[in-house]
Amino acid sequence: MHDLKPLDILSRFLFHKKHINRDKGVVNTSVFTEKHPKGFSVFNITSLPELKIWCIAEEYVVPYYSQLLLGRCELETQYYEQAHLTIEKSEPPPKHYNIHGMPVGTDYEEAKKLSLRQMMVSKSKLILKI
Amino acid sequence: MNAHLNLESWDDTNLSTHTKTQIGNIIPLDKYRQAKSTAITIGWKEKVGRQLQDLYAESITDHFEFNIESAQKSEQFIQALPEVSIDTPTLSVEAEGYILIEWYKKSFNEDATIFSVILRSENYIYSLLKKGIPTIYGTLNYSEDSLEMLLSLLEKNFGIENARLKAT
Repeated sequence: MHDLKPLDILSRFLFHKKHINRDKGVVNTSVFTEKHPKGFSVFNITSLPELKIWCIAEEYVVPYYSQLLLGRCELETQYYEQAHLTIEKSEPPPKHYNIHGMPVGTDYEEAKKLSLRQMMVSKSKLILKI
Repeated sequence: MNAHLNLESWDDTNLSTHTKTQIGNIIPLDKYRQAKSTAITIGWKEKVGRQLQDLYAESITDHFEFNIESAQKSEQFIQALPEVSIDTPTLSVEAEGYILIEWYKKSFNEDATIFSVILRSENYIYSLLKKGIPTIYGTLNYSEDSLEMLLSLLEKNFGIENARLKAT
């Protein structure tokens, strides 16, 4: 369950180079897959100023990683839902949500998901920090 | 002009003993280097070879899975591609450690075209998004026919000659 509107923007903070295609200025499809049983974390950053968004990352996300924060991937809520992913509100921290539904599957399931993930990449926006 | 893929010239002299032990637990590095001594033509293949090397190094420092068998298959796949007539791909690693090879292009007035190939243990997994529209996806076993089919999709959508013709 969540309280998001279809056009609300969810941001995933990125710490791995493997998720970023710097040449093209986009995220790689691999960003939308996760083995973790709790899915992956995103924050609702709709209407937030740029500085506030990075503050959220520094305060609530960076402490859990040993790597440098490289950037963030923004995607509207509607595209997560079109890819049949489940969005679950998970506060605290404020504006935090978990995305479920990308566990590793059989080869054919993975192929189907790969297609959905490509759609998500095509609609997403990469913002680099460093 | 020829250049090596650089995996054989991996410089680990500055790594700590602990890190070297960690690497040794994951991969018999000497054997890997030995197997990777084949020369390939310089160009994007060399760049992609370096990406593979970087991803492996990143997997050690960032503690994510890196499937060696998939890396070897990806190298074979890359070597089978025509370097001069296909755009440069990007490499990444999936959550379970398999290598993802991806081509991406986008014009100002149209949605993205993305072709992705994941090299899993038994099969290629592939998918094509053409100008924002899911076009084809599936699995293919490792065979000459499968390679030809993937090449055909690639040349059609990411062929450099094709792009030049369109531009003129």
